[in-house]
Amino acid sequence: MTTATMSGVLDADVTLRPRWPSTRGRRWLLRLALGVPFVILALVADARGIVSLSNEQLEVAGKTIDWGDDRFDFLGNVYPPIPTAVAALLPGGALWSGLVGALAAGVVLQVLAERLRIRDVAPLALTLLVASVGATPAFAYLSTQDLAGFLGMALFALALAGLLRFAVDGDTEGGFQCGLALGVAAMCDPATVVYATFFATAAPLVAWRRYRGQPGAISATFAVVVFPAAAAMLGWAFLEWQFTGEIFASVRAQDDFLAFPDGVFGTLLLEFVDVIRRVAITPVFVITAILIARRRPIALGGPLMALLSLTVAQWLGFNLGTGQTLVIIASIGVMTVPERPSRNVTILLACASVVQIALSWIPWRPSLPVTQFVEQLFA
Amino acid sequence: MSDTTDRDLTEVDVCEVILAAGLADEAAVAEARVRADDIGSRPETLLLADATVGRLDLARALASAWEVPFCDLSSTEWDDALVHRFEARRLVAEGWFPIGPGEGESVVVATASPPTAERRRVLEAVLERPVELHATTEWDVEGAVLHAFEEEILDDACLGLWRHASDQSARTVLNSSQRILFVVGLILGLVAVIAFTRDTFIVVSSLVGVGFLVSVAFKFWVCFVGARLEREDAISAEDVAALQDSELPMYTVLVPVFREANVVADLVANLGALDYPRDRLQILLLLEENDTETIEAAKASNPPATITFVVVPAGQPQTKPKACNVGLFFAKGEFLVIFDAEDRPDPDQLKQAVIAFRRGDDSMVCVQAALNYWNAEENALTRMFTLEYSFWFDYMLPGLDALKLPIPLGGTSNHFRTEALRRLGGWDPFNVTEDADLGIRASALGEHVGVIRSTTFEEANAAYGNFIRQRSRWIKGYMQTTLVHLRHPLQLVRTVGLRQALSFALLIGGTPLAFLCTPPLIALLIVTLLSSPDQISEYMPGWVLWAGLVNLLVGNALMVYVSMMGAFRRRRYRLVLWGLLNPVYWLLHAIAAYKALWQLVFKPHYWEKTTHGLSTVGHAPADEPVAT
Repeated sequence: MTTATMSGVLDADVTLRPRWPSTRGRRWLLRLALGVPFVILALVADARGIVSLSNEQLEVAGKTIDWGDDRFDFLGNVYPPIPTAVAALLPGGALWSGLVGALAAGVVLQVLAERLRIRDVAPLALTLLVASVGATPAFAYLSTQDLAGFLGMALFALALAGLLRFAVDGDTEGGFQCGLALGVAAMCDPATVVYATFFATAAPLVAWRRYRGQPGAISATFAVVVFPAAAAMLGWAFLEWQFTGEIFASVRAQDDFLAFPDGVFGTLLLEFVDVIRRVAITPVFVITAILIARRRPIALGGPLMALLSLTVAQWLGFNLGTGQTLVIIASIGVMTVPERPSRNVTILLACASVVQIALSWIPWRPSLPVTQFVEQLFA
Repeated sequence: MSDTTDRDLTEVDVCEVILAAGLADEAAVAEARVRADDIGSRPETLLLADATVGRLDLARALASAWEVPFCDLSSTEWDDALVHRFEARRLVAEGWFPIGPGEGESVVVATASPPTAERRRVLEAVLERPVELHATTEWDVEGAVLHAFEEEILDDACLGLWRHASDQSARTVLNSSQRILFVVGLILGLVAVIAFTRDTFIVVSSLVGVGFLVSVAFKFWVCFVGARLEREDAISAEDVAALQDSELPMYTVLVPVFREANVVADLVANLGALDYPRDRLQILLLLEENDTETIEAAKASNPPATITFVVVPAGQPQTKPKACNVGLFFAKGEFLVIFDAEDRPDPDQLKQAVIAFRRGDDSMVCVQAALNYWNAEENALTRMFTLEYSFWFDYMLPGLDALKLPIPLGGTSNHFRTEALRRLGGWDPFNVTEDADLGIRASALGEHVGVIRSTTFEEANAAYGNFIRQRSRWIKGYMQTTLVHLRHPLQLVRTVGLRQALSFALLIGGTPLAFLCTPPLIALLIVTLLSSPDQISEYMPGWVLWAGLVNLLVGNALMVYVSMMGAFRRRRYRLVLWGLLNPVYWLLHAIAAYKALWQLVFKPHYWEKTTHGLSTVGHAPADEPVAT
């Protein structure tokens, strides 16, 4: 880390916290490098005639946007607005949405790598851990075939990274990152409201030592994490109400939203089992959770809250992108790797990463779009 | 009068003189000798600073030892014509004062330095006549100079900047070209409103919408950069601890007080807490001549010898910057800082500033410490005020510093290189935010203003009327500063660069504009909510409406959010949720902005006095605020 020069006058790239790579230019190069395989994948998928239904839906919704129109009739059709607007602005239809997702994949993987590097994880283990998220069919599918789902997931990962810095290290820039990522995510994925609520609830658990004896710290943390997402959702609700007379019409129109097909409690149980099943095939998450439980049991509340939020989001019927839950759980596992892990823990994590990658390639459910995507790709 | 030419008076042991005169006991003198050796000072200076020895008593004892008469300048009449042959600043700097004819052709001169042969020779050369030397004190010389040169000093304090560079002074609200532009603009605007009402409304709406968008984006970006520096401890506690007293320079502290008799006692206590060698502190309490109540309270507070009263002669404009300019005249420190009467600076703030200046190059003329409030939780207003200051001083200013953009100084805790401040022309007494103006002027002249992380705690305004008065002065000052520095916009861009000039325009010019636009925009929102889309589209075509909506939803949310984050960073957790009330707080600003505009037209130089000492909470609340 470069240190401050006199009186706080800083070089353009100097930041308060250690970064990796150290300069902005190198960080973007790494992001690009990590995104290149997914760009190639998007191009190959397109060449093989693989149709991305999610991205095509976005394109269709994007075409309804009438830029500069003063009546806003289209507002009811375009939620979530950010990926829809991106799709509308891109010239090449679903392929370009895939390319944008591919580039965003590079950003997500760099964020994960940076966190591991700063926590002094050995290079080989770092590579394997990043691969345990990135070298999986679900990640590849999401990034290249489901822009909205991937942006939601990527922002979830960014928010989680910020939350950990904010709550554990007291770094308010992390709070900015977490809150703003959730705010933007709210415009990409309605399930963000659930995530934001659980993130805010988890923060005091993660940072209980720091908050001890600090009146108002818990409500303040809650406000800082939740406010941007809440403001974004309320703002959008106001717009829809003002110009269409309805609120979140497109979300409510989804078949699954608040449907509870197996009854309220039955659905909740099923979704919980579904999330646990995904946890079972992400051993990195399991190991880091155990490590947290051994060191500081109360901090386990953080990852558990994240699982709970995923369960509740699925239970409420938010249309999570295919593979999104799995990738989020895998990302949490990497994010919560302990600082300066011992040799044994490093070996354990490296092995778990390899196992996780192998498990991710097993076609557990042939009907899933991810499985079909892989089959088409290698056909 | 004795002949002093055959004795080396510099060898007179002042400690022995003190002991012989019975001014202090041996233990105190011995301790002063040891401390003086340690820190490279003089024992008598330490004894004076500790108030162990009185200034006049010492001067009398020294006069006796030097075998010259003692001269009490406060009760001596002098030859005004003779005095005015010399520059006031020279007399203060060299520590002598001509009194009048002596025996024969000689001139009586009071000197604060030992009346050595060399001193005599120099003064005789200057006066071109034999001199009779009398002993006095530096303080007496300064007092006599202030009396003798009252008109000149006052004139320089009021009009010095204007004479030196009239275009940098707010004495004239609009210069001739600005007046022409204003009149032409007004006429064109009226014609446009009458002839093209709808189109004019659309153009103005568009400009306001885009202006708000850019302004919010800029502020948020700067805050984000400021947030990144949160843990950057440019000056650590270890750096401060490593400073040796012997390395520290003379530091001048200016404290302008006006109608603040109720806080003078606190002020003396707060300044006493500064961690800085007392013999290297020159604290000038700037009192207004017609404010007898505060003068009496100051005398009654029994201040230590390090505090000197400077009674600023009455005259218009009666403003804080005028008093500061008078103080600057007498400043002897290598560095200088301004504190307000109710300030509680971090004890090591002066040392932090010294380190910052030493690390910086000569172009760093000023460093600004953070300001915050000790009565944050007194009522809703103080809470909102604290939220605002936390965001401004903890995010905005460090962000501006990191991006090398012009920094508008806050009203207090600005530390200067004294000579650089003199070069800049001091404060503009016609600008009611002379501090902000000075920061921008420094940038406009190619100098640099930085920040330090030390904090000064102040009293937040707890009364709404008082708040409106204070804020209207600040906003009027921003308007004045904008008008002054936009007199030569191209020159400004050439000197500071386009990025810096735009930053200045957005921050200093944009702030009053934003507050002035707030009520019309709220009215517009209400009308929009009550109208049908067809009616809206008549006056707000698509893109204008889009920009307005982004401002309404994103702009407001972002500014609320940074204020919440600012409170969080200060660990004022209980204030974070109060950030949601910012839109109401901005309405108060809007009221103040309209008052400011009215005053800019009709009373441009009127100083709206903020009353301090109204807080009902103690100075050390249970949840002591955190200095970051």
